[in-house]
Amino acid sequence: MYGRLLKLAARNVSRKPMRSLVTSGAMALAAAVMIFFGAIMIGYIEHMKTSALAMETAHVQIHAKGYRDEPDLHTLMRDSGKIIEKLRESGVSATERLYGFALAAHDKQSAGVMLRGIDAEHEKNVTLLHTAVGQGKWLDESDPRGVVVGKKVARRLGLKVGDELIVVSQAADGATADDLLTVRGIFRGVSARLDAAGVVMRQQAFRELLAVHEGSHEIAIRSTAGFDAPITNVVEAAKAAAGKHEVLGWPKLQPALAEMLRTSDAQLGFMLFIAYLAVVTVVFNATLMSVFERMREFGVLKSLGVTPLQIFFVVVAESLAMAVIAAVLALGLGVGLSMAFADGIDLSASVGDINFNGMVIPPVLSPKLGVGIAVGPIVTLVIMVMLAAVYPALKAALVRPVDAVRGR
Amino acid sequence: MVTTFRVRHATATLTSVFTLFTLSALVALPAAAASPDRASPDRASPDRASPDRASPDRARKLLDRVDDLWRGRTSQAKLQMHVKTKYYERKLAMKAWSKGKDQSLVRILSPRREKGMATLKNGKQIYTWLPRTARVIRLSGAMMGSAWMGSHFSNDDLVKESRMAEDYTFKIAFEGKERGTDIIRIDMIPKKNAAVVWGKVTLTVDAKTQLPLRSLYFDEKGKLARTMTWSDVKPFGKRRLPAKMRMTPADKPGEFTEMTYTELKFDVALDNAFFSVSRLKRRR
Amino acid sequence: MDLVRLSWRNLWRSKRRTLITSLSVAGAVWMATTFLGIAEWAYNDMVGKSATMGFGHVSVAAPGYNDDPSISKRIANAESMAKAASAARGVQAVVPRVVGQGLFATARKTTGGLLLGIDPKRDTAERNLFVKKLEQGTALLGKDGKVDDGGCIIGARMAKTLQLELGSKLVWTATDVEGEIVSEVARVRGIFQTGVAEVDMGTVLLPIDKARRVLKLGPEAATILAVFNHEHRASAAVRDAVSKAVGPGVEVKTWQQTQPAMASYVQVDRASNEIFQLLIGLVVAAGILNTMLMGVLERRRELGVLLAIGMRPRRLFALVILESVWVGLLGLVLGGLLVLPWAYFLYSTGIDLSGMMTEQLEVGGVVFDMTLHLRLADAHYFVIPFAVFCLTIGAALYPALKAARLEPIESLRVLD
Repeated sequence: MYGRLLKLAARNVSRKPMRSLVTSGAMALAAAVMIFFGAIMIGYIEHMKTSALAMETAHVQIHAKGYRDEPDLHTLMRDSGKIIEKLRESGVSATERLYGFALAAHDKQSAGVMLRGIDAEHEKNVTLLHTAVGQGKWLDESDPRGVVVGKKVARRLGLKVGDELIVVSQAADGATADDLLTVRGIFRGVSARLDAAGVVMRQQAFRELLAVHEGSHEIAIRSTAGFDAPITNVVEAAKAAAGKHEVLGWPKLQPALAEMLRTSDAQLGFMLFIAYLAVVTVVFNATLMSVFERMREFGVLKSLGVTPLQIFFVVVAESLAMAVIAAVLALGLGVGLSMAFADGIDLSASVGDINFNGMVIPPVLSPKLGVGIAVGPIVTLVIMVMLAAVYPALKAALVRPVDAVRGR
Repeated sequence: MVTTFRVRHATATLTSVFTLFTLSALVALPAAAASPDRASPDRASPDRASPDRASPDRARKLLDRVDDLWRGRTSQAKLQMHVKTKYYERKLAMKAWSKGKDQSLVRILSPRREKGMATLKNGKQIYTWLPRTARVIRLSGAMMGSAWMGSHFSNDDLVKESRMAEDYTFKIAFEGKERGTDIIRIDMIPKKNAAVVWGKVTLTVDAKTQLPLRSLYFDEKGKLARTMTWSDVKPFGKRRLPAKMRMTPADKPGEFTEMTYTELKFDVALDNAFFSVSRLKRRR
Repeated sequence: MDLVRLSWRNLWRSKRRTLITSLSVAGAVWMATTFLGIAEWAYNDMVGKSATMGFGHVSVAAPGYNDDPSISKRIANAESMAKAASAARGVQAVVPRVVGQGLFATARKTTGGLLLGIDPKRDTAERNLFVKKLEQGTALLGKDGKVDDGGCIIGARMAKTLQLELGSKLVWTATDVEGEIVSEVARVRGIFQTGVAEVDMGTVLLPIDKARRVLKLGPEAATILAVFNHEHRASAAVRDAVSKAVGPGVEVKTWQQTQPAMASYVQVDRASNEIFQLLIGLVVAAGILNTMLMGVLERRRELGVLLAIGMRPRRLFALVILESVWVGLLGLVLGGLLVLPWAYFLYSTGIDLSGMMTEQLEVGGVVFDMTLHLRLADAHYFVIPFAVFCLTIGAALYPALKAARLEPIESLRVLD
């Protein structure tokens, strides 16, 4: 019996092709919008995440207790070397960093900067900092006194690639330390801190300058998984290696980013809701119209013995059929759009870098492709459509044959 | 966007603003002692014992003497600076010249790492000569808060000038014996508009010699922030002066910065050109 | 036949259909208003906050100041310039400010930061975020309404680090225009908290006259003139007006130019918002098209009759379009009525999301306000109805076309 009803539903749909197509089209458009928009939003968040984490933070960091509250040259992890060895044995990538405040001067200008001594060889296994050089070149072991400076530092001091930079500071042994460094490169926008005061140098040069011969201030760890993966096992490994030092996962290091990710789902959900509200009205509207148009027909069917339930089923099945068509269309359209813009919509021509919570993000919107992205919108579409069809279906099912045949 | 400016202190040394005695005054203090005014027999007078002499006038005279007497005097000295902090202990040897209270030049003799470094103070400008990189740096706002040569004095301390008598109201708070020595203690309260961080400063001098013994610096709540002590009185030329001066921060037990004079000469011929940036660059 | 009257009457022949269609239109109005309104409020709030923190909506500064700030780059005759600028079109207020770097010391500690010289009489809570966010104390104005010359306002974090309370003294050191290092004492009169750690740690506000004197800037000088408009969107126009008013020798920039981070955030957000609205608009249009189409098809018979008795297809087209005009207007009215209480609610009370968020979100140094409010720019009052109306008419084109193309004979068939 239901097979016949389905056939009836299918025929009803095809009887008014234009109308059915328009309704399906509206559904499809909504779903496609959500797929594409969802892909862009998620892609954007991912991009933010990667930009923020991949440049400096990585997955997990270790510091000596108290360092984060009050950074000081002397608050070191003296056993950092051992910790790193242990970490590498457990299969993650790790690198250490040293930080020290100094006065930097060039020509007649001077400014306070934060020197950052990095282990260039291992840093590139943990972050993408080496790709962030906007002008000039990255550090090189043939140039021990070559440094890469933040873009605002360069601006304040009037630095160009190749310029000399004097740095003066107080070394760990109390002596006044000074040295002449060469600007090998200038970063593009990375993070508020690096841009404003960052001078990245080779660790050996830092150690010699500031007389910090062992230990470091910060160990950064990246697991082999991407930045989407959960980090509990990385944190465990770090804690095991770190002993009494402080271990923090990236959500604690960048709490605002973590928060934003949490809420972006909610935000997307909200937009989905709105989009579907629109679709529901369309479907409701259309279904109701078509039902009322065919009241006479339903009346006849009922008087011929078709049960209300069966009529209900038919109406719902019609909507479902359109939803299925819509789903297919939407999938094609949504995925198509996402693929068309796979390289991202680059807004950097009209929009500068975005500064969000101290992270600097280049303005490129790229959609993230994936089956998961499409599933949500489509399933929701089908459910919404069916819900929207309920009232009209009821109306049809409950029609009084006598009234209907008489034409109301 | 409000650009914030952060000064981070490179070490754990104290960076409070030090206003009573500037580095130039440190160097010049002995010169003060050599002035002809000093030749008065005041110090031997029985003034100290009579209660009705505990007036602001007398206190002012005392302070003025300490403050005032280096006018127009020049000096040349050899010093040692011994710094002990939680993280390091260092000894530096340096040579220092001064003229009046506005001009001074300090050149580091040892250790080898800092040998040849020099700090020039000319009026309110401070310049540092860095021999290794062969550059002169003018001290700007960024470095004001940081320590001078790793000591407990900040660069700001070098620049600050404060005339004790002008910035404070004072009175003689105590006269009497302290461990067998007759002392006079002057309490100084900063005037309302004085750009001074302290709530109160006391200066204790030896009643007989009128040389400073000790100075205590309190914050506005009355808590001790740091102590300066003078000791080891020795003859330098015609005068006897404390050869050692030690600065101890109150909240960092065990830390101190101590300056010791090994040589001190006065009225050395020093022209203004001596205290110039070009002179700074030369080796001597 | 009077088409207008006919179209109007046709509407009421099927109340249900008319209602449903106009509700769709009303729905579009609601969505547009809500989205645009919330976004508009958020931008205005953020831009406003950013403006009150430093540079105003439009700022006037000495040439080169923006790229390379320094105390020597100042406007010597700022006061007279401020007067001239206030007369420019769209300007709500002009406030002079002195900006410099300083060192702040107490007996315990020293720290560095930004010095901001303000005129407490003009830099009120409305114009100045720091004053607005005062948690303790007052804003440098004594009880007699006179400026407290020896006072200062500091951030909560600085108060904590330097162990300062109301009434404590702070010695600030800065470099004056002649390059000399100068120091002054100031008593803490107020403590603010903006929520941005760096700002709360490193900003001190002083009376502008004191700053002018101590830094030897001149009694009428200022580092910048912060100009506030009524409407953040008008900034470019205001900039032009102010530029004319103050003459050459200074740089007049909009907030987009002085706070590029904020500007890009607003742009990107706005762009994505607009794309979304467009897409939703299409969906709604499809819905309207649908109902209208059905309306036409439902009345096939009678429309066929009209054509049979000689009505020109062109007129039938016009008839359907006119019907859509009525529906559109009806929908707008309905939408307006429905949206009004909602908009008012959002405007006054708003939806408080702060429970959901545990962290402060910050863009370009300004903290997001966690309560959703609504605000409509003047433009919106016109744009929204207009856009929705056009949408409705556009959606009606196809059904109207369909109606005009009906074959009278086919339509007259009794059985459908």
